[in-house]
Amino acid sequence: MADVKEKQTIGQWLKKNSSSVASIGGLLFCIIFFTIGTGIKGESIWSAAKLANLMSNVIVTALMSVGAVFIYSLGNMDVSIGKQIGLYATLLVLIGNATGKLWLAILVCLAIAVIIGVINGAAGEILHMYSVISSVVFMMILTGVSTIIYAKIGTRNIILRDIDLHLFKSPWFMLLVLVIETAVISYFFYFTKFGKYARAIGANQTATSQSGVDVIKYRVIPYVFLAVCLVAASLFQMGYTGAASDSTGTGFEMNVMVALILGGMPLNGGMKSRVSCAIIGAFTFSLLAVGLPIIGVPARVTFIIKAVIFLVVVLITCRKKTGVLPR
Amino acid sequence: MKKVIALLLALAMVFALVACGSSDTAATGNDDTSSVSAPAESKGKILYLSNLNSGCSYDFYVSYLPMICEQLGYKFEVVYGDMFNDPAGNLAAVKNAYTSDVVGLIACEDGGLGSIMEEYPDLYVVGCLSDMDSVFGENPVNAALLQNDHFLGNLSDGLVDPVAQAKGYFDEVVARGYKKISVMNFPVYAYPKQTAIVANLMQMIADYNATAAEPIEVVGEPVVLQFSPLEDSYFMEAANQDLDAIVGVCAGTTFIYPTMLAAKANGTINPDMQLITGGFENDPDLLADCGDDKTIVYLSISTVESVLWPVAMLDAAISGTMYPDFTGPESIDPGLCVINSTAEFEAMANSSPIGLTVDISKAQVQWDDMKDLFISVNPDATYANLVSFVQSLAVDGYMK
Repeated sequence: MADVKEKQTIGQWLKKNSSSVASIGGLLFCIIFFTIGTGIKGESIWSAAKLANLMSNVIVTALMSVGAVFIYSLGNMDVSIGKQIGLYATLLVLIGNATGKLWLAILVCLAIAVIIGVINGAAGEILHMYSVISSVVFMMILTGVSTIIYAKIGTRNIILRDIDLHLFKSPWFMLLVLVIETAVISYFFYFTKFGKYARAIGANQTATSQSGVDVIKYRVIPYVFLAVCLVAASLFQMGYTGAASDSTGTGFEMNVMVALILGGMPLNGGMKSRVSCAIIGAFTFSLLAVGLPIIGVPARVTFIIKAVIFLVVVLITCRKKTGVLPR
Repeated sequence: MKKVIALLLALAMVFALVACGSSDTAATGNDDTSSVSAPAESKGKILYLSNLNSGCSYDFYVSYLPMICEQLGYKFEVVYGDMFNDPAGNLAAVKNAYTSDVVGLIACEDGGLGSIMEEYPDLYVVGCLSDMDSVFGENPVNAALLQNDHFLGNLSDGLVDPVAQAKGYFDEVVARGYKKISVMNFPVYAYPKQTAIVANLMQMIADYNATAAEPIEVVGEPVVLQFSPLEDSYFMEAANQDLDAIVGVCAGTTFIYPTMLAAKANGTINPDMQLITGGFENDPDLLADCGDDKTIVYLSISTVESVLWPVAMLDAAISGTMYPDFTGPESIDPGLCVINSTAEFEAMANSSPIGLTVDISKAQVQWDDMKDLFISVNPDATYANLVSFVQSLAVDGYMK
């Protein structure tokens, strides 16, 4: 009898935590699989060069995804992320070249990011529309701005000169920044009302509103967190090559979405949202990118494998028949 | 149910991984050409940073290049560059594919090339079918590569000289007696050479009109296509409906032809309107509409077999026996296929390796024809002969 009860408990626990089990299990599987697989091929995914490569693959997606956890916990999504990264990377190069001061460029980017974040966060609630709509508008505006900037410059690629960017290529510095950002975001997400209310809004906005929570305020603040994280991510994106182009950031919003889903993030937001989803997902995503070519999988096939893994994780983790997609 | 589907998909993936992981020894033919086995005494692996992932030219390159590499004793692997030539995207693609046996890189994109060579200073790099503006253009952000002895130069996509390229278009317009045309190209920031070609073409037409009895009218300003097909609304304007031809200094088969075809079908435009452009597709319907009395009358493309040049350059450098007459990296013209007659279009469709069926056995240069150009095979080979041979490749090679 006790055995039956215990089995039921384990079963219930697994059912309750299926997304966590799937995401952490997926990461562990990747680690074990690529450790063995790359060893058979005479390479090692744990070599210093490959670890550095892994970190440079992880950093931008992870920094963005950690910031986006707040947005996804609201049950929202922001499709302007990629274009924002592109704009900030471009501005970092242009202002950096013009003034020789990277900090000034960072401040300008932060100001713009916060303005976009505030509008993105507030527009949905004030105008009674899905928040994703305002992010679509920003995506289109920023695409136009980028096109104008590069048409004006007359070239596709711009390079930052005279500013040493070696720090941004250091895997240890990447790791340090990621740890700090994750710690700060985790603090706000788990230990302050910003995170608590964001998750509550994602779980049930009506109930949260009727509890006296200022929904607009607590919808806007997550976008400000994301804004800061995006500027940090754009610094590493630009610092990776010291360059930006008209296509920098293209599709990054999908990378964020894939990383969060691989990490087990509930797409409809709510109380089960976790910051760890961003880290687990970003590392799983990057391990696949780094590990598959080493074990001899042709580049073309890696896209299919990533898609299958994504689909498997979605099938395992999605729990609701309706309302799964973010808004 | 969804758990069952998830399980089945996961199993399918595991089997796929197992199959892919062992493909190194299985894929030597043309069915899976992304990875080709090399002889036991492999000289290392050459990465091919592709700007394409589909199409007849892509299918040819990922079959033809491995064949050459295999003959020379190299492994070959395709890496997909960032589809928009983003520096960070290209660097990440190369870094992800880089293994300890990689010795050379054939780069069809130049975004991030400086960073790639900085990351891998021992890697030999050569450009392939790219304008490589970041190295050879007017504002070259990667100009320092010209001083790097591991950068071996570039095989240009189309002629290096925009005047020569413009002359080809101009001569065709005059030869066909067009009197009313329009001109289209991609944005200057992405393809500065196209804008230079258009400027030269306009100048040539202006010079011609100064003495011609019947001048050539160019309707409006050159249309800049923002990497999307020509808008249907273009042909709603009366001035554009009776054009004799459009000169598309871009991939007009993809970005102009479909809109023209639809407008012709709708009866909106002159049914005899023709297209002079670049790019080649092996779509049977498109090829059926190519020829003297058809819609597409002129295509200018780099001869696909020209890609033997970057392999020869890499092989010479990796073998440590660079051509004695090689003086430094340059961007060279490829062989040029100017296809502007029905017979030539038929030859491209039926006898070329990128015709209706992609078949490298139809290539005008097979291993036996090219092997003496490689200095590791023939110690007497010269750079001048190599360049001259590549530049001699033309559509005539498919008409023998």
